[in-house]
Amino acid sequence: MNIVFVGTTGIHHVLLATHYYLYNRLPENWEDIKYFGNVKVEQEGLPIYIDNDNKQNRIFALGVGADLAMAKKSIDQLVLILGKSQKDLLVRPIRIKGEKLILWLNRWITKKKPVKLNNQMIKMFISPQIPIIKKQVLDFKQTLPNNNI
Amino acid sequence: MKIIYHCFGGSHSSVTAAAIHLGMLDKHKTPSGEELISLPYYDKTNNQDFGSIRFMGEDKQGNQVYVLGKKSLGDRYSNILLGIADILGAKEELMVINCMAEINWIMKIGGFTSRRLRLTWIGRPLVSQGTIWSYNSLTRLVEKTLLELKNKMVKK
Repeated sequence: MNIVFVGTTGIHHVLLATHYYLYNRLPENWEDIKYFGNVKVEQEGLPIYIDNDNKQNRIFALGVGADLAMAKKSIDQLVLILGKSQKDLLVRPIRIKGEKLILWLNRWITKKKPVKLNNQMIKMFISPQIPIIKKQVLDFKQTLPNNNI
Repeated sequence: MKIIYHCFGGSHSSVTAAAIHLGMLDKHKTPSGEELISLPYYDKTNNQDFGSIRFMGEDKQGNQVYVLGKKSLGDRYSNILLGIADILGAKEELMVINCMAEINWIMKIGGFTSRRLRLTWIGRPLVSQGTIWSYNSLTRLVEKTLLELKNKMVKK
C-alpha cells in the first residue's frame, strides 16, 4: 500500500508527519530533515517518497496548495478512475494553524529567496504545533487496518 | 487511457476541449452559444464541483475523457495527479491537460459572473462568446493532445 500525507506544503509540517509516522519520533533539529524547506522539490508538485514503513507501505509527503479538501477529493477520485482502491493508496491530510501562511511564505521565498530567514519563520510557526502533528499521525495509525504502532 | 482536461472551474474551457475531443463539437466549425450551453457541465457547475473529476464520455478509441475544475493551481495540479498515478504504476494510462492557457478575459469575467456571482443572464452570454473566440486555440490544444495520445498508443 502507499500512504500519502498531504498538506498545504509537503516540505514542512507534512514532512514532519511522515517522519513521526515512520520512526515514532522527530530529531531535535527537525529542520535538518532531508527536503525540509526545499522549495525546488515543492515547486515540482510531485509526491516526495520518504521511506517504507515496517509493513512495507511506501510513505510519501505531498503539498497540494491552499484547498486541501479539493485536492483530497481529486486524488481519491483519481485512484478509483485508475481502477485502484484505498487498499492501494491512502491519503491523510495533516493540518496545522497558519498552514496557509506557511504556503504564502513558501511562495514568497521562491521569488525573493531568503531561504534561511523563511525557514526560521516557518520553524517558529511549526514548533508549538508539533504535538498537534503527532496527534494526527497517531490518530491515523489507529485507523489503519493492521495497526502499525 | 484516461484523459483529464482541467481549468479553473471545470465548467467552460475544459468542457469545450473535452467536447471537441469526443466529437460532440465539430473542430472545423465554430459552435454557436446554444451548442455550447447544451454541452453537459457547460456553465452548470457550482462550488461543490471543484476537485471533482467528472466523466464526459468515451472517444472512438475507447479512451475515457474527464473534466476537472482545480481553481488556480495550474500545471502543478497536473503534476500532483500524474505523481499519484505514478505511485500507482499507472502514469502511462493517464494524460492531464491544462486548458488555462487557452482562455481569454471575456471567459474569465463571464465565468466569474455566471458561476461565482450567479448572474447567469449576464455571465453566460459573455462566457459563451469568449469560448467562441478561444475555440481555435482549444481545437489546437485538443489536436496536440490527440497527437500525443496517438504517439503513446504506438509506443504501447
